[in-house]
Amino acid sequence: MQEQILEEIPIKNDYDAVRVRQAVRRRALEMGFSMIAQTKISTVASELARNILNYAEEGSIRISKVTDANRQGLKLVFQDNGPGIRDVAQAMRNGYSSTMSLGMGLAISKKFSNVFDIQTTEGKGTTVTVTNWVKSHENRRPPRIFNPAKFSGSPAK
Amino acid sequence: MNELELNVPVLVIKNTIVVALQFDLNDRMVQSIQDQVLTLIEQRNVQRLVISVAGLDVIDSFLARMLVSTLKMAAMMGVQGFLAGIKPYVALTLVDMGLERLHLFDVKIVSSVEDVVV
Ligand SMILES: Nc1ncnc2c1ncn2[C@@H]1O[C@H](COP(=O)(O)OP(=O)(O)O)[C@@H](O)[C@H]1O
Ligand SMILES: [Mg+2]
Repeated sequence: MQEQILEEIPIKNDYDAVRVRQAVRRRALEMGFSMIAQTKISTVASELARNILNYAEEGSIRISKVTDANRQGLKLVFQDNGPGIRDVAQAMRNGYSSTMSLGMGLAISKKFSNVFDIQTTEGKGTTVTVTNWVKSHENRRPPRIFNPAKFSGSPAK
Repeated sequence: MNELELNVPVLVIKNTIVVALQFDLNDRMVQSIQDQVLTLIEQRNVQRLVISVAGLDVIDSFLARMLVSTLKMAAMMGVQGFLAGIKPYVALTLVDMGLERLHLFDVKIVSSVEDVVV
């Protein structure tokens, strides 16, 4: 699998989080992801950038294009040197939060990604990697708009 | 306080507060919008609050929570709240995230601001 780094963005404040969402959406659009896939990937980026700001204070994202034999993907690596997570299984559980938050971020990120990986060491930091493959039908041209005028003649005999 | 002085788009039309969220907001703006809405409810004789998200391409769990909590706080102050203008792709994403967990079943949803302000 080939990996081409497209962009690296530090995540230090909530302006950076906005930048991350926008950059990820632009890259997803450029790679030909459908609107719904773009929206889901941007939502994941937003959740993971927010986790860095909330729990590790700062970190970064690396956005890459990955290519294997017959498909292309968008890979996002969120890295921080924060406190890490003691109980990953618990943190991954939909609805678990160590704060008063909704506790959905990690669960959503896993659900919305084709590949999800979390590496974390207490006291050292956390790296979350998500990859999504462009579906082949997403790469095709958009369907032609239905033109009722063409069908307005008398019905076929 | 004049609405024009506000740095985020919160305005009062008749007896309705309209908040039209535009572009990509940072968290400080979201917090400030919530504060401004609650201040306006205190100061003005308003009956309704509409938050339009027609300008947003992403609603993550944090923003969803802020929106719902703002609408619920308004309700506690006797103001009827509405969430308007969710884009189709955002709606699909929210459904897959889980409307129940996001507490989106607790708020009234309309397709656009015009459904409330006539
Ligand atoms: N980058 C991180 N560093 C340290 N802890 C984290 C990080 N990301 C997530 N966590 C922990 O995992 C929990 C669950 O995260 P998440 O699913 O995003 O829910 P929420 O952020 O709403 O609490 C957090 O409450 C936090 O304790
Ligand atoms: Mg989170």
